[in-house]
Amino acid sequence: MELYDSYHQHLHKVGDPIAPPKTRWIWVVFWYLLAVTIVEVGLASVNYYGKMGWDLWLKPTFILLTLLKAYYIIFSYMHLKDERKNFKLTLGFLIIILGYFIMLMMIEGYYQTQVRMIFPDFLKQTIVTHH
Amino acid sequence: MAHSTAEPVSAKAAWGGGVAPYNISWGKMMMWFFLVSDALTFSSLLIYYGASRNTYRVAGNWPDPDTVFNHFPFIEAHVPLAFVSLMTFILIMSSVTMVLAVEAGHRFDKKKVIFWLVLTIIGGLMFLGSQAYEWTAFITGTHDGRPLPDGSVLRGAGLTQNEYGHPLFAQLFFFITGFHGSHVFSGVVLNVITLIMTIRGVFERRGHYEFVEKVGLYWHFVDLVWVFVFTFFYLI
Repeated sequence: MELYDSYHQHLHKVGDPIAPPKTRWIWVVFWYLLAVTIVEVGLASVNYYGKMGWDLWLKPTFILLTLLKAYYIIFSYMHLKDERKNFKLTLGFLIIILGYFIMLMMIEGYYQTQVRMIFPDFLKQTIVTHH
Repeated sequence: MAHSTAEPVSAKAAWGGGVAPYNISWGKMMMWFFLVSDALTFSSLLIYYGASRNTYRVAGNWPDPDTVFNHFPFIEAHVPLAFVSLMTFILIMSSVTMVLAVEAGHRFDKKKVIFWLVLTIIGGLMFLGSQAYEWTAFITGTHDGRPLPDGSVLRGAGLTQNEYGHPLFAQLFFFITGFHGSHVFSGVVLNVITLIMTIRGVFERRGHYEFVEKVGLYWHFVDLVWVFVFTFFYLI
């Protein structure tokens, strides 16, 4: 417990005065997150109702906007920006594995698609597998 | 944020034992490592969803999410994205109340911590209720259903059959949103425990509210996962 507490330099005692809240940044980030979500839903709705056929560029846009939201949540709400650089790198290196996995699954998915186009009999897999 | 005020230590002293590395308490560090491993689990599920969608999209019967998830409570009209947008808003809102609770904990403002934690719990329960509605609508299916070759009509989605298209879509939907929902549920349970501990003054006696911060990390992670589920399941 002592080791743990040594990281709380200013242990609070019951009855000590309470500092005023500093919540402005929280709401600023909230409006960012809300704005990005509204942009996403707006783009998807226009594409759907207007039958725009924007899918090709809309999908990467959605992924980028999602990563933007993830950045705000992780670095601001989860306070990662206050941690040491080495700690951020430690977590980041673990996530790199995902890049490899995404590549593998893209190659595999593409292969499966090709197989199904070349050998249509493969498609005999019906809507109802077990009736 | 107590760690940001700590004095710098030499590398030898930091790694020689007796101090927590990275100037971050063990509990928080382990929570981060757990979240990274959980992120890898969720990512592999979502990546597998992407791969199977790519497999059955061209020559298969992968359903279009816009035509599947278009229900909204109490109205008859089909409105794609409306309900999940509401769910996203609820979860972002509860993330905000959680970060406000953490902020109040930094200032040792016990009343505000209790207030924001209660709102966070309400947000989590609202999200779980919305998810129950979403599942019910998906399992029940449409009124017309899908006529089958043998003359019967297939309504709704299950693990082995799916009115809307390939059964794998339903399986992945149940697995991924169910896995996320169970995370939300554990988050609500953790928040209730934190609330009880706060009310009983455990953190005040301990001298810091780091427990709230760790539960907050978990809660934000659940919100983060939903951001990705929302994009890959509903938007794209």
